[in-house]
Amino acid sequence: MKDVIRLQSGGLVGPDDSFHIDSWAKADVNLITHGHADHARSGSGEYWCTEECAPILRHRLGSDIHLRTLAYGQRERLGNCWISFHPAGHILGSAQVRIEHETQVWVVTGDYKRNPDPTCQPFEPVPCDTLITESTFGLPIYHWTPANVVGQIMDWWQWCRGEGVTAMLFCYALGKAQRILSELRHVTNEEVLLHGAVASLTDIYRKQGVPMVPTRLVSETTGSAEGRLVLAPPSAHRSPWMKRFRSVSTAFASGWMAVRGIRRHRGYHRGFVLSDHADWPGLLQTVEESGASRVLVTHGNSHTLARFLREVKGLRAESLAIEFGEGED
Amino acid sequence: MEVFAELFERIDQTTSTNEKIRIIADFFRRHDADTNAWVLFFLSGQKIKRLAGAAKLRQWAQELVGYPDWMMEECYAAVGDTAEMVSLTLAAAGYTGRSESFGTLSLGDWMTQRLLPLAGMNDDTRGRHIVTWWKQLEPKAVFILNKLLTGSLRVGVSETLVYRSIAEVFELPPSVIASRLVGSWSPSGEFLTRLGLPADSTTRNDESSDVLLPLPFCLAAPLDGEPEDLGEIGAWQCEWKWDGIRCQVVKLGSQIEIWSRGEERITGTFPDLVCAFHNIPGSWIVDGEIVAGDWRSPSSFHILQKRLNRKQPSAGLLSANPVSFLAYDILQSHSEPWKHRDLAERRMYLEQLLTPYVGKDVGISPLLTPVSWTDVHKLRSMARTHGAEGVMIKSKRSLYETGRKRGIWYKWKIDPLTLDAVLTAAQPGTGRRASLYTDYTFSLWNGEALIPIAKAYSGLTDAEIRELDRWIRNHTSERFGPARSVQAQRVFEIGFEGISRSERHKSGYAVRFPRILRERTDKLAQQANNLEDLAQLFESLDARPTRGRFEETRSVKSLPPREQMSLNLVDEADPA
Repeated sequence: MKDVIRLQSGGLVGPDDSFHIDSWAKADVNLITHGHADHARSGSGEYWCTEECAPILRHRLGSDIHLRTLAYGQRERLGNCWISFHPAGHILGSAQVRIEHETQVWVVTGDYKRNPDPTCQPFEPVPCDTLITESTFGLPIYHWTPANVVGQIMDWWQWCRGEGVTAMLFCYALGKAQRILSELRHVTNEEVLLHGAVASLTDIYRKQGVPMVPTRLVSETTGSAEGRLVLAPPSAHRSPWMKRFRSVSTAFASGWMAVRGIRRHRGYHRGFVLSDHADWPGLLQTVEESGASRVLVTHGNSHTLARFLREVKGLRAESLAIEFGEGED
Repeated sequence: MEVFAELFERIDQTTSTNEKIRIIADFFRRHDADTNAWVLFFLSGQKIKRLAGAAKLRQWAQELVGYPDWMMEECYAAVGDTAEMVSLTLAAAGYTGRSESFGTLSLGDWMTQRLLPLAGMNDDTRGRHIVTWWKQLEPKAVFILNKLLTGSLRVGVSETLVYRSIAEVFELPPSVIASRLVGSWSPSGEFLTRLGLPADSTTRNDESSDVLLPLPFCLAAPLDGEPEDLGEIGAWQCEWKWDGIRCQVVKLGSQIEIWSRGEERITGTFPDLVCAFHNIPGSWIVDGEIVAGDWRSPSSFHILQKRLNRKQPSAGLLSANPVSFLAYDILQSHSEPWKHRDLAERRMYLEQLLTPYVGKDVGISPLLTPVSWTDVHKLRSMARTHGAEGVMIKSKRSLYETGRKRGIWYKWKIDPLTLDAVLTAAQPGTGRRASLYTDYTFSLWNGEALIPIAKAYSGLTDAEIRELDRWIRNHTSERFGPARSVQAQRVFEIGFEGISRSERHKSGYAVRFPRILRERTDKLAQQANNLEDLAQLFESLDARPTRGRFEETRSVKSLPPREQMSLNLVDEADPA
């Protein structure tokens, strides 16, 4: 049986090139799983995404892009396929793409996680014949404990306040930052300061009704930043932007912080283990729940997960080498 | 175990010395004497006998989780540390933290009742106990337990920092704490109580409250521009920059301590030198360098490496790998501080003190006597033949400052030998470079083939490492477990300190201390050097005359013709 989804130089492609998924080539129709920069790229003729993802896509790619939005679960005909988006639990508006072609069902997960996140719809298992799954954290050393990460962040913030330093928390500007701002509501209602890159995306979340603690742009703050919590993208770490703060304690919120060596290499004072990707048990759970007899693995440790599924789980599994940005979380 | 794991984590999370002292002092105030004694034992870098090897831990963990060998290998590559890899793997598979029952057992009890008795057990029994503990402890405590079992726990604190922390708790001078911790002691509550006794009610008769600690080291800055920018040469003292272990020797009557630049006590590693220092009377602090072999013509640092980290070296090791000491500076004599006097004055006093005792074990770093900066350029170009790695330029007026103060001491290192080589393979690093491809293999052309000549680990910034890591993942041509060969595209300038013939290497040569100097983005892979270039470089070095460094000559006022210069730069301090 012919593959419904194939890998080309520009990414994943549907039958007769009728659509691409998260393509970095110029596609006629590009289905976007979510708004992160390595999945949503400019240059395509028409974009399809979820309703929640649309404002993010417009913000990133321009308001003039040709955009078609679908509700989760809404089925649409595209070429000779039925297409639908299903919640992936990664960030606001993130989706798995289900493709039904003749007798086959394929699912492309995009990035996803199985842990709860107050800013987006939880992951929904979608039965399929072939699953294309991500594997950013595809090693059995990654396990997100239900530990109260936001409580740890709060403790560190309080410690910073006691020391009279700014609590500078680096995290991805889209998704992770808003998840933290939303989860912080359980422990505080104090205002958090934002780097410009975080602020614009936070506005988009707010407009969609995601509840978050009050925020303010760093540049619009008149008082001292000492004792305040600031959220900034990792690219701001050690950048000239940091010079405005007198003394800071730096931290990074990411799944990568689970490994001590990585934590030390990145040079942050603190690391909080908070990921928007599936951990190892989450990946295995997802493969199992999909019921797929064949699994294609992309991103990160794809070889390892594919080999494990093949040799230990007895599935048809192989690795797909897609050139995405490596393991951003 | 849990409280120790928490302490470790808190120390690990900060780089501030004062914060570390506060954390440690705070811990000591809150815990019992037995626990504190063991914590002190580990913090001050002491180790218990290894109770289980890393391979065993990995095997027991593998039996528990049931992963294939290659998966354990991949996990190790991503973590770079067996103790942590085991704790993460067990946690992700749900094998840790299943009971609370051990959480309350103090570290002292853990050590005496559980860990130490393992020594008398066979592997099976040992494994059974350890697996039981794994299941009961939280992942962070499993990590610490594994570190203790394998004897590989390293806490990011210097010995002097530990002394200062304890001193704060007991409200005693750090020097008193240091002197009470000299030598071997067993970690017990009683010992800890004695440690905190008032300074005048000493229990050790050889104790003194005088300083046995080093002074903060004065460090040289790299010379960025040309030495001509430093002004009159007469204001500067020049010496060779030796390739050894910088240290301070603190002698107080019959007591001697040797401190490394990292403020670690390395006295036990060099009993041969301690013996030599005993011959020099008085009480003093001397700054200098331990070099391999005889200081009159030091051998390769390679020899010195065999002596490092051996707390109780055997007589055989000592005689096979002799070392000697080259004095640079004097910081204190009897109770008189010298660090606030000019270098010129200190140097004179150093020679006065040491010259009668100079021998094969102890020397004084010879002064070089250039009369112009042009001479200094020449000296630097000859450094390699003298077994040195450059020239030190110190202001004669400089005081012995704390740390790296600009404008007083400079190190002017020789340019390394270089070749442009192609990146052909990579594997993940360990420790803080785990998960990233940071161990690079570089190759030179031999006809159409690329032959590996060096593995290099250092020289790139963290950001460059991450960029290269991403590139490697996307340009892999073959995978061998965690290692990958990559497409021959990227060219790097590799610096190294020397070349020797080697049967073990495919290229026929081994290079010393290879590191990455920069990427040659201007070069295509085809334009990298070939093996013939390496061979020629080797020949050119090999052909260099190796003259004795201390051949006597008289005048230094006018420089002789170029070819004789190395004979004529007199070492004033040479006692011969």
